[in-house]
Amino acid sequence: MLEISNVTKTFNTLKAVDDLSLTVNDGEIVGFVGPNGAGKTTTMKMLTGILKPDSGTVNINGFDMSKQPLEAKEIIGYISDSPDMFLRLKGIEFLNFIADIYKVPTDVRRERIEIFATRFGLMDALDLPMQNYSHGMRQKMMVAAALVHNPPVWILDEPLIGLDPKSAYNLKAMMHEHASAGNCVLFSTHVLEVAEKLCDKIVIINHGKDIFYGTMDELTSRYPGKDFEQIFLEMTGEKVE
Amino acid sequence: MTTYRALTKAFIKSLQMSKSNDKRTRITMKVIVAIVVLFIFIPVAIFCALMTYALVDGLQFFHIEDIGVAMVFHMICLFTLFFGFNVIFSEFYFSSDIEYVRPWPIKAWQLVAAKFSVSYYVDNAMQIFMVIASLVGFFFAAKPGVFSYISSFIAVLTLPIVPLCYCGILSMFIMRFTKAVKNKESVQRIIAVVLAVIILLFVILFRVLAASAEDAVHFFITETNSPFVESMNKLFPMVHFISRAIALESVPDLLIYILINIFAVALMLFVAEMVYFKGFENLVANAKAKTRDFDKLMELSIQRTPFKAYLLKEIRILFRTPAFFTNCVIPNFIWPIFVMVILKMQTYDVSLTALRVYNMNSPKTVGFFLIMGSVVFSLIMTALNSISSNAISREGKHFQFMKYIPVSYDTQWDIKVLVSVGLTYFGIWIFLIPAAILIRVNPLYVIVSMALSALSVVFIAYMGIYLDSIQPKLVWDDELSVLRENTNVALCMGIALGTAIAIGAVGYSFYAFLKIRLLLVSLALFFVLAILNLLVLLRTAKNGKRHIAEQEEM
Repeated sequence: MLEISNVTKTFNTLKAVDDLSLTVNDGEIVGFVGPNGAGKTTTMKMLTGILKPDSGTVNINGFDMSKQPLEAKEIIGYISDSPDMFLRLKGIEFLNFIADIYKVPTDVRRERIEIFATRFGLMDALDLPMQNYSHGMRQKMMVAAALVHNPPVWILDEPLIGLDPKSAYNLKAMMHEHASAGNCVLFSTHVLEVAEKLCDKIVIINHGKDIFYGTMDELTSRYPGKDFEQIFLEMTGEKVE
Repeated sequence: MTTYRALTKAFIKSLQMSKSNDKRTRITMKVIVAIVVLFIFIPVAIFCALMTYALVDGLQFFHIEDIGVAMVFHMICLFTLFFGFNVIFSEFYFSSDIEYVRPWPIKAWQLVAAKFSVSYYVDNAMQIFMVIASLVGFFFAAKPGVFSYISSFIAVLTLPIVPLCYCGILSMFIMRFTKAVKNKESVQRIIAVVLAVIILLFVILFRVLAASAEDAVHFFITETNSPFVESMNKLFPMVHFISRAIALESVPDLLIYILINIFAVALMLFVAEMVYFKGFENLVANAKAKTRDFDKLMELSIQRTPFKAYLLKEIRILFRTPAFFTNCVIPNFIWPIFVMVILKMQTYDVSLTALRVYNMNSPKTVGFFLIMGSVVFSLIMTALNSISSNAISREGKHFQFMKYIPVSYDTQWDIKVLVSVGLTYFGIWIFLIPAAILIRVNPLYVIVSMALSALSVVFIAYMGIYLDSIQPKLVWDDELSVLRENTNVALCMGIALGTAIAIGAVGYSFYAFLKIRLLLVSLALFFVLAILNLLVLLRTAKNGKRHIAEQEEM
C-alpha cells in the first residue's frame, strides 16, 4: 500500500503539488491523469524519494520515506519518465546491475530476466549496448529493470509510451496480475482510454490538487451522459475548440 | 540570419550552469571561484604577459617586434586548434539537439554557423584571457599608438576564428569521406589518434631542437626572421597580418586580416552546405555487434553485492565513454611520457645508471624528491583526471537514479571516491614503484611516500566530489561538456594547485634551508595531510549527503 498525506511541493514560487492526499490500497491499480504540468511526475518523484516534500508524509507499505528511505525504496519498482539511462551498458549488464542493487538472488533473477526478455522481445538485444536501442526498446528495458526484483509497489510514470502493441498489452496484463496478487500499482498516463479500461480507481490532478479520486462509476455518475474524455476536459477546465 | 541567431541563442542557453537557490551555496561558489582565479587564471595571464613583454622588448632592438607578437599568437592558435577539435566535433556531430533540429527547415550552413558560434563561445574563455594578457605585455614593452589598441581589440575577439574553422572543415571532411567512421566512438578514437600524433610531432620537434641550443635559438629567433614563425605563418596566415597591424600600426594589414577571417568562415560554411548533412548521415549507430546467446548470458548473470555492482557500473561508464576514458582514465597512465619529455627538454641525464649514481651519492635528496614529488604529484593528478570532481555531474539526466535506489548516499559517495582514489593511486605507483626499485631508493622512503601519496589522493578525491556536489552540472548535451563546461573541475584543480604549491614550498624550505631532518619533514607533512583529510571528511559528512538529497535539478 502507498499513502501520501497532505503533501505540498513548491519550486521557487510555483506550487507544483498542493496539499495532495492519496492512498493506493493493495490489490488496486490506480491511474494518475491530468494535463501537462499538473504535478503527476512531481508527485511520483516524491513517492520514490527523488524529491523531498515541503510538507506532508509519504508512506510505502508502512515505511515513512523521510525516516526509513532505504526500506521504502527497496519495495518500489519505479519507471521514470525518461528511458535514456546508462546507455553505455549492455542490456544484460543493466538488468544485472539493477538486480544486484535490489539484492535479487542468482536463480530468481535468471528466471525473471527470461520472463521479461520473452514477453518484451528483448532476447536478441540483451548483449548490445543500450545506446544502440530504439526508444521503444529502451522503454522495455526500463520496465524489465524496474520490475526485476518483483517489488510489491509499482510506480510507473507513463510506462506505455514507446511500447509496441504486444509489449503494451503484456505490460497491462502484468499490471493486472500484479494487483490481483495483492500488490498495488500507481501509473500515470495521458491516454484516457487506458486509464478507463485498466484502472480500479482514477486520480485526476490539476494545478497540483486532486480534483477527483474514486472509481470510474463514481465519476460517470456525477456527469450523466458524458464520456470520460468530456468529463476530464470539463473538470480540468480545458476548452475544446 | 534570424534562424542563425535563434539557434545560437538556444544552443548557448543550454550550455550554461544553473545558479543555486541556496544563499550559502552561492557564497561558497564565489569563494571557490576567487581561489581558482587567484591560482590558475592570474598565474597563466602573468606568464603570457611576461613572455610577450620579454619577446617584444628583446626584438625591438632588431625592429622585428611584430615577430614577438606573432610568436605568441601562433602559440595561442595552436592551443585553440588542439582543444578546439574536440569541442567542434562534439558540437557539430555529438550533441543530441541535432536530432531534434534536423527535421526543421534549416540549411546546413545556418546550423553549422550556430554550432560554430557555440564552439567559439565554449572554447574561448581561456584563450581570450591569454590574448588580452599577451597584449598587455606588448603594450608595456612597445608603448604603441591608438591604432594598435584598435587592432588589438579586434585580435582579442577574432584570433580563434581561423583555427576553429580548420577544426570545423576537417571534422566535416572526416565525417563525409571517412568510411571507417561508423559511430561516435570511432570518431572520438580518431580525435585521440590525431591529438596523439600532434603531441608526438611536438615531442620530436623539441627533442631535435634540444640537441643543439644554438639551433633552437635560431629556430625561434634570428635577426631577420624566425623559421618557426615562417612555418607557422603557412598554417595561420592571418597571424602575420594582425601582428603587423598591431606592432607597425598598418591599416592594410588589418584589412587583410579581417578578409582572411571572413574568407575562412565563408569557406567553412560553403563546405558545410556541401557535406555537413551527408556526413551526419554516416554517423549511424553500430548495431552489427556480435552477440552471445541467451544461455551464455544467463551463466554470467550472478549475484553481486550492491557495493560491487555500483563500483562496476562506475568503472564501466568511465572506461566505455570515450570522453571520460581519454580525459579521466588515460592521463593516469601516460604521465611518465610527459615527465620524460620535460626532463629531456631540460637536458637532464635520466639514464638508469646516472640516476643510480645520484641516489648513491645523495640518497636523502632523492628520498626528499620522491616524498615531496609524490605528494605534489598525487594532489595535482587527482584533480587533473577529474574523476571525483565530475563524479556527480557525470550522472547527468539520470542523477535521479542515485536518489531512488535503495543504496545510501554515503555508500554511493564512497564508491565514487574509491574509483577516483583507486585509478589515480594505481596510475601513480604502478610506475613509481618499479622506478624506485630500479634506482634502488631506500625502501623506507618509498613506504613513506606511498602513505603520504595516499593521504593526498584521498584528500583531493573527497574535495573534488564535495565541490561537485554543491552545484553539479547535470544538464549537459554530450559527455565532453561535463569536463569542458563544468566549473567544479577547474575549482578542484585550483585548490589542488594551491595546496601543492604551499606544501611544496614549505617542505622545500624546511628541508633545504632550515635543514630539518627528512623524516621530521615527512611527519609534519603527515599531520598536515591528516588534518586536511579530517576537515574535508567532516565537511563531507555534514553537507555532502545533504547536497545530494537537496539537489532537485533533473
